[in-house]
Amino acid sequence: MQTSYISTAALRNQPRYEVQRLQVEVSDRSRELATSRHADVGLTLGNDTGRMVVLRNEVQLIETLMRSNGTAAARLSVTQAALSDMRDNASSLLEALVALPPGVQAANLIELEGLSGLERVADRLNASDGGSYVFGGLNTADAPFTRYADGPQAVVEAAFLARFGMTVGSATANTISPADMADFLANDFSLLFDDPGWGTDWSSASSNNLVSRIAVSQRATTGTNANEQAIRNVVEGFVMVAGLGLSALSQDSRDVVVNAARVLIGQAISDLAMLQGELGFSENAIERADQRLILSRNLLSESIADTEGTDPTEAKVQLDLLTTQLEMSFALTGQLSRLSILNYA
Amino acid sequence: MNLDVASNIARQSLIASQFQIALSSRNVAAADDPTRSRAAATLATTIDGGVRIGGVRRAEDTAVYTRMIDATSVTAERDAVLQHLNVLSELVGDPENNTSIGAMIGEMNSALVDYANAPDDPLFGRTVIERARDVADKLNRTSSELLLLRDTADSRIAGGVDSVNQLLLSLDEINKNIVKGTISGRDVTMDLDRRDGIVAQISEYIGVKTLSRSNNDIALFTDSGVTMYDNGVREVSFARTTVFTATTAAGEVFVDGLPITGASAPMPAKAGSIVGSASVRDYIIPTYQLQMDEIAREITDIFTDGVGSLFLNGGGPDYAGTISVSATVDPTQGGTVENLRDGTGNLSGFAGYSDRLLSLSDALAGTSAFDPNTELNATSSLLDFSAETAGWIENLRKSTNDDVNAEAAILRQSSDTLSRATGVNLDDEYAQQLMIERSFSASSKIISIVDEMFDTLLRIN
Repeated sequence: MQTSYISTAALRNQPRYEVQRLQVEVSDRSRELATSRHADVGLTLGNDTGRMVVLRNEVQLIETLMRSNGTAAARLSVTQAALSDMRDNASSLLEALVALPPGVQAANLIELEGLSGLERVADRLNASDGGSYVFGGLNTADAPFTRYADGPQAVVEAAFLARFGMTVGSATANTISPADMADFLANDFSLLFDDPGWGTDWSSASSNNLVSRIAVSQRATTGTNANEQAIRNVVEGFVMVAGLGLSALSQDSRDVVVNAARVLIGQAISDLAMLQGELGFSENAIERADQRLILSRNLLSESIADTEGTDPTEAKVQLDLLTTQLEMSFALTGQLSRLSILNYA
Repeated sequence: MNLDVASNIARQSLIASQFQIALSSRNVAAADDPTRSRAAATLATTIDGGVRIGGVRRAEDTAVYTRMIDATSVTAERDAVLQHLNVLSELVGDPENNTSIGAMIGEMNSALVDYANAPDDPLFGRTVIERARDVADKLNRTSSELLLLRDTADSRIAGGVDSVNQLLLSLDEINKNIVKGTISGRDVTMDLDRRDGIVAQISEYIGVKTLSRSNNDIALFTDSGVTMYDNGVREVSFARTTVFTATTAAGEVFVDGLPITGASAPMPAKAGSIVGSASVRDYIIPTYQLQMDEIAREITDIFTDGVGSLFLNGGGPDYAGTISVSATVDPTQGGTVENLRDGTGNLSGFAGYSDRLLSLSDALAGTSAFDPNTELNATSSLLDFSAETAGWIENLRKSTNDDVNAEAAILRQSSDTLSRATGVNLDDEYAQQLMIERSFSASSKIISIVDEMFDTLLRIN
């Protein structure tokens, strides 16, 4: 009996198993070298595969948010531009009112300026951004502001008629006393710009503003609406100048109207600036959210690459080593098969 | 002592040499068969001082053989599980390709956020509906694929049971031969090799233990102790399930009338490919199925709100198989995406209404309650839960793959050890043949010398 024994099958098979194992390794390493990722990500990561799915979902969500933030920022800048224009518009009317000389001629001119200003306001309030009206609040589908001639004019003139028993611009309008006019402006006329009159006659906007998700768990108001007090004041001021037949009134009553319009528009200009400031906060918030999103997207992408990726240098070194091993294994297999007593006996 | 004795002894030696060379040639022929072991003749001294063949002994190592059998069954069990898991992991795919259910729900969530930030744009709504359809399709397909996989596992069990029964019949035949042969003093080494081979084959299907008895008889038990063979075959039986549905409870494998798989088995078998397929069929796939059903149930619940419901399902337990996109929100089925945007909340019908969409997206990321039997975190967000299903499968695949590698190494090592101990070395065989040749020529020489001596003797007379 031999003290140590090895069967021919055991001797010959040993290198064969190794060759199989090495070839699988070579195939995996070359794949890793080509893609810089694990050959079988699920098998290498195991439980972490779930985490990778979560991370990829987060990256995707962040990219979605960044894209929709772009849309929100565009909407805000359209809104800001419209508000700026309205402010300029109001300022130039205010200048004209302050410098208004007495007389029918000047009153005629300022009436015309008021009317065209009102048209410009309407145009601005109906500004849209890719199909949705930016001053509509939640109601982005309908143009929020009704043009003066398309309804509101009739309402204003009806109120005038009801109060004074005569039409706007009628020859007897110069009989209206300044006190009556002041009372009309403070009550009947002013009422037209409060709810519910404003909603039925002028605006179809929703008082609720658009809210967007600007970061993973941050929401911001990303729009305004035509029902804001600043906008009502602008419109009221312009209508006073344009819609009450300024040139037909007595100089004293005219002064009452002009003074009231000056106060209103002056107030409106500072209110508009406030509104712009509020929207500016939202723009700011979006910008900062974007910066944070970029930062976290980069971190997440790095984390994904770190976990799923392989070091190509390491893979190359391993591949070289494996190739050498494989060559030695082949050589050994050949040598072993030549090693037989039959060659010597 | 006389010349007759010398001639007789030489003749005995010739016969012994011939027997030995015949054995050696049998060994050479068996060198490449891993189930055969090396046979050697034992020589005995005859009454007149010559030699005769006392018997044939085969090289064996019971301890290593038992270890090899154990390793075979454990490897077969793990390997059967791994094969199924590899198919299951195809359902998950590479995380890079976003083919898992978790990634699809993630994509739907992104589309939802897009829509929430531009609720007046129905194109974004359409995208949500399309992503929702992907989710529903994925759940449907996964569900039917899982039923198919259960069926595959079931048919593998059936195939395994058939093979075991066949092998047990062969074992019975050969074992009876061995016992008879041993009693009558015949050379039974070849039959012993074949019997060892059959036991090894059975151990691929079910883990076994053998008990050796007198006259080389054996009894065979499952690794849990249920008798499979003892002076006769005990039947292994299994009823194949013809159609799998979500609620099908599949049949169990019985040995000698006792179940060896399933929760009701008093002595469940531990290893072998049948056990592996059964655990895939009865545990892994149903658990994954439950995870899919829980996803389908929860995602339907989250999105339910009158005409604004995004999903419909046919109720438990087969939520995943029956989930579909609701017609009221799907333009291709005559609905409108505005229903999804508004639910029952947007009374004024404003196009910019985003409250519901925002809260839906929050609900996907918020905490939901799931069945604790899913083996995942039972209180987590739907997004995390659905993503973790991929981790669950891959984790199982990873650990099973590690097991297979480890067990295969053990199996290879014990096979190698067994082969070293009991296999044939061709060089050694050849060296022995040379020795036998020498002994044969020496004995022949003696016969011719005795012959010459007789000649000389006869010539003197």
